Amino acid sequence: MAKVLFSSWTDEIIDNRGKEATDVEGINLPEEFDGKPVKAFMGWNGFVITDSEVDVVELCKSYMEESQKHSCGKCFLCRIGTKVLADILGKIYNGEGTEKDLDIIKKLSVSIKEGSRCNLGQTVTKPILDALENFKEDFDNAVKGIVKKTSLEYKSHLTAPCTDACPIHLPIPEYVEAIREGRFQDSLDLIRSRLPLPGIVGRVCVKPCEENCRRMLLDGPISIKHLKRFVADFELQKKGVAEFQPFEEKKDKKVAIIGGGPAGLTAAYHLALKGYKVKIFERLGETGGMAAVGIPDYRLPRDIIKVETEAIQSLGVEIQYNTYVGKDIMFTDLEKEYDAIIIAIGAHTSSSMRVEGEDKGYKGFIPGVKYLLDINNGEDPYPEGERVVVVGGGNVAMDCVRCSLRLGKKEVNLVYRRTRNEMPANIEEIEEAEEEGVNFLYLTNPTKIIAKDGKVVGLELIKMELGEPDESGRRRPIPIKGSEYVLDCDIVVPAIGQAIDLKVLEGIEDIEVTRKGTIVVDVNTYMATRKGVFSAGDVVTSPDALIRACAGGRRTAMKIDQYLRGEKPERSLEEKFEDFLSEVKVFDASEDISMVGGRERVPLKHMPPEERKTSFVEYTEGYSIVEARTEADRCLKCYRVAMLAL
Amino acid sequence: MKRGAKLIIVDPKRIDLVEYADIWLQPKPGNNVAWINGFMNVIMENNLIDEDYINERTEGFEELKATVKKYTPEEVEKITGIDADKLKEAAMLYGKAEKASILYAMGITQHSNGTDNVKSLVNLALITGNVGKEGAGVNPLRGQNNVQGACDMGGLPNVYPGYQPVDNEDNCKMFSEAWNCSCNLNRGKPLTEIPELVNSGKLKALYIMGENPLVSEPHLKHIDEVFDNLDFIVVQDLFMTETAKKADVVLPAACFAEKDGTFTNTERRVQRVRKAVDAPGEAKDDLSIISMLAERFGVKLSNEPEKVFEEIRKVTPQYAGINYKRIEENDGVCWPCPDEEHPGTPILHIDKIIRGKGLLTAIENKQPQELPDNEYPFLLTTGRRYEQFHTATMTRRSQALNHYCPAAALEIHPDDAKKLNINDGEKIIVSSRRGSITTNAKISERVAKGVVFGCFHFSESAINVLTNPVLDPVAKIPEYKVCAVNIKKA
Amino acid sequence: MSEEMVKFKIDGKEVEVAKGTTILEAARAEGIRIPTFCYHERLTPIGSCRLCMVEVEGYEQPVPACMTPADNEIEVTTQSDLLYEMRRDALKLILLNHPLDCPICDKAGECTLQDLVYEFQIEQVEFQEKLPDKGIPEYATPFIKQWTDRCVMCLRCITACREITGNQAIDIVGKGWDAKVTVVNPELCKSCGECLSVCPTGALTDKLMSVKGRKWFIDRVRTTCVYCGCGCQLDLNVFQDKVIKVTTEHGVGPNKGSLCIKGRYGFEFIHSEDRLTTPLIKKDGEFKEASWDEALDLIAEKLKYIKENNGADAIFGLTSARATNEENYTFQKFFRSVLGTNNVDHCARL
Repeated sequence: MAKVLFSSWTDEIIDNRGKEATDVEGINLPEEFDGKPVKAFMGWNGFVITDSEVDVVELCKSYMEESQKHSCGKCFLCRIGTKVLADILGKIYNGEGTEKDLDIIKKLSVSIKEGSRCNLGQTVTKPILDALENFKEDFDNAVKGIVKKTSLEYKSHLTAPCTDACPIHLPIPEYVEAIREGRFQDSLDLIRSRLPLPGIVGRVCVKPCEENCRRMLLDGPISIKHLKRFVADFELQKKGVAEFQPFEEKKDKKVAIIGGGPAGLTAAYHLALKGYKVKIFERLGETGGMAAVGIPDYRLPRDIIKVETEAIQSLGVEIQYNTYVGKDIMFTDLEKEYDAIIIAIGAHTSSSMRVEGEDKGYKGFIPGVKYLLDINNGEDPYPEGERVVVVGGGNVAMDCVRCSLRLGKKEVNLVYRRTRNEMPANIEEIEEAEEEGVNFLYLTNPTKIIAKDGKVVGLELIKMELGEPDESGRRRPIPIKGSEYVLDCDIVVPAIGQAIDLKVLEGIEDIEVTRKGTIVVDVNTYMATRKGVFSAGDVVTSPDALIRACAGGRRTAMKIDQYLRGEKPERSLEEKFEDFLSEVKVFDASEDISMVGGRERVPLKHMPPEERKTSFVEYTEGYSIVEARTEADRCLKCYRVAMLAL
Repeated sequence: MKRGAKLIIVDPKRIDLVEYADIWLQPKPGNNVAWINGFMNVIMENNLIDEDYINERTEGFEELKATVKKYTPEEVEKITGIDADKLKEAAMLYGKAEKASILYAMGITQHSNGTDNVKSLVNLALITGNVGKEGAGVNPLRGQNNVQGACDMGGLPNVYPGYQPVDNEDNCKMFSEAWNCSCNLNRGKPLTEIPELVNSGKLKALYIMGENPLVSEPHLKHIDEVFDNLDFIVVQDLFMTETAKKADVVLPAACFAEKDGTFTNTERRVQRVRKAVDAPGEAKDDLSIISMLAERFGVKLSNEPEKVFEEIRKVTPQYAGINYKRIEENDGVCWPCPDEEHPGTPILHIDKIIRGKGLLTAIENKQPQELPDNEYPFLLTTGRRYEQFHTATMTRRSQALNHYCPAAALEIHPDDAKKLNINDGEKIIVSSRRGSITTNAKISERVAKGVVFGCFHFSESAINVLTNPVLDPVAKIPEYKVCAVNIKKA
Repeated sequence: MSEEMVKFKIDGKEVEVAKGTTILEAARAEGIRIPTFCYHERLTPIGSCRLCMVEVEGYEQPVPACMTPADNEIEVTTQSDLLYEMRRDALKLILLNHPLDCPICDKAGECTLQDLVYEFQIEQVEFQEKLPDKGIPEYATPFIKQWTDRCVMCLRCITACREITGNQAIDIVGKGWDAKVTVVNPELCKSCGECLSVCPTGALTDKLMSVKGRKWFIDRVRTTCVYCGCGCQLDLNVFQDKVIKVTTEHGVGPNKGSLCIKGRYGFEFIHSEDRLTTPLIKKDGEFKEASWDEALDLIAEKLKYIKENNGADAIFGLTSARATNEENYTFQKFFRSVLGTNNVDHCARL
């Protein structure tokens, strides 16, 4: 992290002018950006100077000029106010300012800060006021005509806490505002500028955005996920289908994508928009990857995946189903025909529990991914079995228990080695599983599968207690000696994680793979260690959120575009800013939002637990128009301008 | 719709509202009963009827049920061309709605079975309990500012003001007393029968106040001849219209901005018209003209609007409680309003159906009287354009409106145009069994293949030269919506 | 179903309103005036002007009254030194980009901006010189004039186009200072004039108005539209015995202040050169001007003759769906009581 010469970033002023720059806790400013040292950072919360070369008057003037570029123009104070501030600061910077100008910028800054429509106007004058207070001498000198002009470069970026937290960096405040105004198609277009799967993501996203929503500190985060689903559903209802047109000229270059999951589909969409010929090779009979076969229909109906896939196909993307690359067709064959290849095969096998009996092939022992796959194909994998134990605490485990109920299983248990608080599954999923009648066994771990005549008859469990925190920060579960007991059951479903099947690389030696079985890609080029081969999604990140796979797919598509144009693939300035700000962190959970609240989230209508636990039909009903607009109206529009002096 | 209302459009044309609709059904013109029966079929099949409402407030359900049974969505698809699944979807949407409103205009009425069409819509609304509550009902949208008022005031051959039949002795006596005259017990004839009356020598004189039948009537060539056979024609109008040119005497009338009075809108809301400017030259308002004429018959008829309104109240029960002061204070008053304490009635049939029981009528679909054949292969349907009004004597004298809709054009599907080798904007000759007009082609996907659409605003290419003068037997409304034509390059 | 209520204070006054009511709505109901500029009763709150900012006890950040629903137990202050200065600053910023050409502006006398600048006693804008004109392209419609430099971007027009008309013919394009209101979908614009009717300044004016009349010289006569059966209420703007434009009052009539193109621009026929101005009698196939006495005497004579010779039913009267109730009533009464026939009809079927 960069050492600080001056900072108004945290609540206290750190002033090391004339002294040694120091590290400051709470300021996570990377030292470099785009290969150049960061000399100052100005943003919503103040500013940080790391190099004495920086001139504060110039910094302020540049920040206002940059803010003008981002102001949406929808309110007087910000639109005209920041322009006036930029002009006056420009005058001062050129040695033409007066004492009176300093008073004006101070007073006007306050008005803009207190009165602007969105967080952009409300925050952009904060660093100006900080500067006027702490660098009075510099301003006084400038007014007297003593000016220092540097040759620093200024780069700015518009973000928001939610946008920053979103792996694919959706323009969330903008599309939420479009919903508020009733511009549903505009909203959808904004989402689709980055993400082609709003209907899927709007149902199953783990929504890091909502955990970074400032309104959470007031009366609950905006239901961003439900709003995304709303606009997708609205279009489906009104038009039936979505059709796109490529916005760039058709190109001759061809790209093969192995895997039609979220990463593959997103990459295909962006490449097709750019005019490339794209073909997806899908191992299964349908697209969606784990979203299709791993997420049950009651959470994500197959129709939604189908419709969004068709929309991507309308761009000219071809899909070849039931084709196992590495078996039905060899990787090297694809390389001959295509100019670039993306490996986006996901993580489709279950991790091992490492307990006795796991590898014996007992009837009734069914790995989580296989269990869900069968159920999603409409089959009960073991109809005779009536008592189920699922092991694990993630969303896949939740899906397994809830699907078991829907198959009509009499007794459904979930075994998790820590407590409810540490469970990685979404809280809604846990609550809904509880409502539906799943029996949760916390602080419990399996030790042995008990079988009779080759059939599972029970699972030996051991009680656990929590010890010291491990590297993940969660307290480590420790077995309590002698607490073993046996739970009678017919089916044991391990759902503790997924692994990657790398059969695709059969015969390929030079693609580097990690110890965990993931494919290594360059952070800048997204290329694997073999030319022309790229990779994205779970196969790179190991099992992770769906939206992160989409994000990887999008960036990979951008890199392939550069690669196929004969340029050197590299992260764009925008992407560098996105990554830079992820380190700075835009959301501040300790912020005290001092404003009127009292507007709770609009809840989604649910089927009652008794009704839904017997059916695979989607159990939630999306927002109505009124509900969506009411929810969207809660958004605080936390736009923020970040600027770097380089 | 911003608040979540759903919209179903049934129209042979892709009208602008289709853009906002949830479902658009495109029937072939002239088979309305079929799809309405189809709606009821789906609603009955899925048990979406309001049984209590039917039992308490209606009669004739069993007969209706029997007739409707035949109109399955698949059957309706054969008749109307509406996709069966779409019909089902729309019917379910209507049937499931807590309240659903039907709005209709001339697309329903201007058919030789227009009355059947309206009755069918009433059937549909009644079996779902959608009559007599806010946000529901069967609502005709009236095309002219005071067509409601003109009917209310007895501007019809069979009724006195307030829809009191003229062939009823009590009414006749009552009005004879009120007007100090002896009234005629015989019903008058409807406008659409004028040609027949003239040809048989029964009708000699025509007095026309502010109408332009020589553009608006069907089969214009025929009407034109009829006018030539009249002994005496008086026309009172703002402009020298096509009809006025035929007159013996033309009287200059004042327009709405030059007089006081009331109009009654499509919601039965009586609202004020106020004088803003003086009439040009010697032009006078219609009231003064009639009053001056009556003087010559030795009868005094008031020329003061408010006094006339007071008289209207006395003989028109529905208007009894309305006066100028109340209109002023309440932003208009909706009739029926029986006394001055009554707030007016924006919604009819609330507690019960006014006639006692809502009558459900079993109705079979009928084909229009003239359908396309080899000689006249296209189906012509007529109507209006947004920017123009009626025979356009007023609107064509406003620049803004002419800017957007300067001339007549016949809308024709691109595939049909291609077959006929007609380009957009090209002059074409359109003919029916009754005559021909020259107009411009407008290639448009708003109409279905085989259907062409023309508006009746423009007298130089008057579409009503082509239309079929067959009438609905009850309402005597002509079948403007369907006739057969052929099209040639000019 | 009883509605959930919230109780709070505005300027010390205890008020109770339904949950969801904004502070502005609550204040207006209580007769407390909060200055507004972009707010319009028929539109979703826009929040562009920032004049309705109010302070809430215990919270740092002032909030816009138009967009903030009242919450239980809050205490709202609508007037304070900070708010006064913020409102003045917002107005001054507008004036940087708004010419003081009131003497030649149609809107003078009924301009919200004029009133507010006067109210806040803004005599000069000390920030800087007037900013340069942006040169916004003209509107799609030949009937609405856009005064590019007068637009302060309150965004009412865009909102009205979207929410009342259901179109998106105009929209905001560009960022920051360069943002402007522009026609984005010209084919969707039908000159309905909803944008014009909500414009609080003279940025959108009627282009048809051939004769200019200042607000204080104009009489506004409320009447019912002469076109379709909706019965829209409109105001004829009369200057020197001429109708020069049509305006509406928001919330009035079945139309609640909206009009279609016919209602707003279809008034020119009133003063058309083609209007009939004198009775005409046809002699030898040619119309000759006549006096009222000549014309009416002739009509009476003819009608009496036909009645006597062919019977009353040989006469037919066509009354009009465009005439008033009083005229229709009198017409049919004349036919039924004076001439003695029920042959009265009109074009209800057409």
